[in-house]
Amino acid sequence: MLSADAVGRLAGQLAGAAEVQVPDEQATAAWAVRGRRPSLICVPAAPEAVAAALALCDQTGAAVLPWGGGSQQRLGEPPSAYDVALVVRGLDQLVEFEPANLTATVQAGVRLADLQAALGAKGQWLPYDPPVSPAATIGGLLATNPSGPYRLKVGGLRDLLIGTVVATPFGSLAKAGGRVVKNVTGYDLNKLYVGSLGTLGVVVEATFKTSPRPETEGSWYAVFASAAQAGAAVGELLRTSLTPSGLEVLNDRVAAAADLPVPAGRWALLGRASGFRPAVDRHLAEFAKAARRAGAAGAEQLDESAAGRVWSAYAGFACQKRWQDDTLTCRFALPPDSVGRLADLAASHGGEAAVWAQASGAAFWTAALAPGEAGRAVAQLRAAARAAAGALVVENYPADVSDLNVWGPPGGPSELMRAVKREYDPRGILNPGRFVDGI
Amino acid sequence: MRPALLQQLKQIVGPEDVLTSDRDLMAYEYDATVEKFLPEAVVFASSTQEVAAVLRLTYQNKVPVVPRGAGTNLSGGTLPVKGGIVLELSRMTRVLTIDTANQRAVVEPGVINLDLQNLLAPLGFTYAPDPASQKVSTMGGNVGEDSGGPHCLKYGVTSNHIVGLEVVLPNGEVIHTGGAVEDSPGYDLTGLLVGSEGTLGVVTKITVRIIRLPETIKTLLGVYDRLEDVGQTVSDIIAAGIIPATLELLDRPVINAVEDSVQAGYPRDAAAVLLIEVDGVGDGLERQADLIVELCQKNKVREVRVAKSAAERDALWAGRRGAFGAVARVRPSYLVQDGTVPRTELAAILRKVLEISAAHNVTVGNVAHAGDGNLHPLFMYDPKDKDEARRVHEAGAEILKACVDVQGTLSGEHGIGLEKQKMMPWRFGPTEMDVMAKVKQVWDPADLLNPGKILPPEYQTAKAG
Repeated sequence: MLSADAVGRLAGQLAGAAEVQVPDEQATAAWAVRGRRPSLICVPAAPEAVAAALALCDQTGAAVLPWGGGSQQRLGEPPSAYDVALVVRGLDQLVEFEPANLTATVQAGVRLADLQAALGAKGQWLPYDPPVSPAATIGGLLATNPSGPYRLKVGGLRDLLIGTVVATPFGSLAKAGGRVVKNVTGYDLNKLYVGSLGTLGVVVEATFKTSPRPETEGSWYAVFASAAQAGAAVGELLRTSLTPSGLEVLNDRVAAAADLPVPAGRWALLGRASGFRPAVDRHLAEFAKAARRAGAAGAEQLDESAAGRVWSAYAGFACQKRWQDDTLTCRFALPPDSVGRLADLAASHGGEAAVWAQASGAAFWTAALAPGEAGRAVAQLRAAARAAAGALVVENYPADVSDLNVWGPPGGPSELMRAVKREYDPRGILNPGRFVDGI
Repeated sequence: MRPALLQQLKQIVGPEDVLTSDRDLMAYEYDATVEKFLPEAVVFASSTQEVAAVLRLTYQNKVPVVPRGAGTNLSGGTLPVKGGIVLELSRMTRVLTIDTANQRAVVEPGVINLDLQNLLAPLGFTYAPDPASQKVSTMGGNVGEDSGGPHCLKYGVTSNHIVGLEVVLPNGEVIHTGGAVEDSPGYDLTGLLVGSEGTLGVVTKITVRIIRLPETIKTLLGVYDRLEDVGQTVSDIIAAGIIPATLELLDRPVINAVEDSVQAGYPRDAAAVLLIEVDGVGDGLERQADLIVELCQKNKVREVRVAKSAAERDALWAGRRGAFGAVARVRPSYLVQDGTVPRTELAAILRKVLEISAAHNVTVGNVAHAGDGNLHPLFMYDPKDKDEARRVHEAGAEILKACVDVQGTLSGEHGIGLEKQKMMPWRFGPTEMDVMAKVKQVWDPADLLNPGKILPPEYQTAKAG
């Protein structure tokens, strides 16, 4: 932590680059992360100002938490230090959208919802539908890398991102990639930034591949005795040439929140297809067949208004549940054929368990547990995920739970990851202590 | 190279798998580009353990190492510009697992791209990236160059299909990145390694995403009198909500070369032909094809041919598949350039290619992945004619500059390698170059792995040894 003198000096310096607030005790509450509060709130209005602010913080040794909408700040370990909240909401420009080129360049503070509205006005969208708060910004999403049902059809955020501009602690703005969809011009740094929790630099601008909006969508659900059975139906569908735009396995609690009539103890498989009408109809027919073969009584098609309601309620519930103050939420990354089995296992842990899973391999579990039990449950579920060649990350946990390893073992050598961090943020000012292995 | 070192290399891989005679080495002094650099030895590795042992030794002795697959590199990426050894991986050809339920396969780096596709096809699956070199190029090389291919528009490039790697670091340490699942905690080192042109580590196992083969494919060929009309057709198809699997363009000089050799039946007086393919579930695909025909007609297409059978599809593809070979027959040799522009700039850049080439008095034709804005100008020339060769390279460089000037880039899928590193400052400033140099610094601080590539020389200097 900086001394009061140092904070005062830094505030004066930052004021030359950006709007700076020195919040009182009450105002800092809105910027608190895991009990820590910043001394300064810095709100730059342009990419150059972000870079300038970072350089000043670096020179001072001030710990910086980049801040988009703030809706996913509970992710990660508690920061080891926190002096400045660097808020990118001022970077709110849609820089360029060329519908015929199927690309859009957008500043980091733009909300995903606002980007979708702008693209939608031209019949396009970013084919990315994570269950996040309306406050979620592009910058925050790149840092945290959540995914939604549509990932099954088009891949994740890393597959849609083709260009970035990043503000560095050295005070520079560095481009990577560009506005073209094929690009082997130097190292692909975009990949490094996605999901890096803002620990390597602050993304100020991003370019994505956009897609035409599908002509139509169709949704359907079926009820199963277990997640494993629902998973078997998913397995059947993945063996066909179909390209569904969502196959979600929901336990009874999540299904109820999504307004699906699923009896207690049962599971729902919620499916969706997007595209041209005949192809969507074909998907619906095949969904029903696969569901019956896997043990469901049949499949129920949702009409357009019901489908809209169900998907939106589902996303809303998932978002709210994930980030609620008193919730323990874990995200599994699994091979598709383990999703059902692990979802069943997760549902048997803790009280009031809510479990939902995506066919592409992400599964979520939230439950009420006594503080002493959380660590053990997480350890058991992580061991099961790892035994299936997967991983488990604790996304959120109540304040009274300690001794959790949030990230678990990283997907690569820690030494290399730390070396990357040292090169890009030598003084360790960006989100210190919050990422894997103390990065 | 010191005899003692050669002896140690022979102990690792066996005496017959270390080549040192001038005659043998000459087979490894070139790739698919024009420059030549003789390695000091060629070492064939057959396993991760051998790769690791070789790299431990070369690290201790500060010997540069260039990993090599089939040597089809088009940017000089496989040339041993600083001497040392060429580490041949083409014998590591095992497909270790195919897991259709989880849509994954694990392969060794020497597996040939098309061999993998042929192995997967009977199972109803495929590995999507299909570079033109796929009959010979290896998966390790594809990972190194982040290879593309005609199907990128819909399915993405190599990096979208690689989820995990086993890698030997320059010091011989074996590491694993990513794995069977996506979103492993931590930095996406797998994503960083793909397209790193063999400068960061030697890939020894690759976990790839495999996807279901499409149920149905519809292939069409539009014949055009103006390049602008092709460009507008591409835009209109996309605006109609269709993402074709393929949108390949061949311009008049290439059409004529093709007709001289494979007789694909393309009209010689057309400005360009556009090969269009849509795929997916069968239902509704006919309607998409009809819509595409309408859009071609709206854009003054002279004629649209629709393949009604597999044989007719092959016939439409014959010209595209044979294009490079056909061009090779026009003059003693050819040079393929690789640039990318925003798709909306394609027609203008193709016109520019013709203008620039005329100004340099060189013969050129264009093959382009039109849907990706990725152009491949093909210069037909005689490399023995030093003046013509110089003009070809000047024209190529000028075209890439023109690409960058319209927010395009220096390489869509062939890499920077040796050929384009001096052009990097056109696209990136010192800041970006420093950021990239940091990547190299992390992985290969001694600058031993494929040294002298990607970054301009002034950014290649290692900080520590």
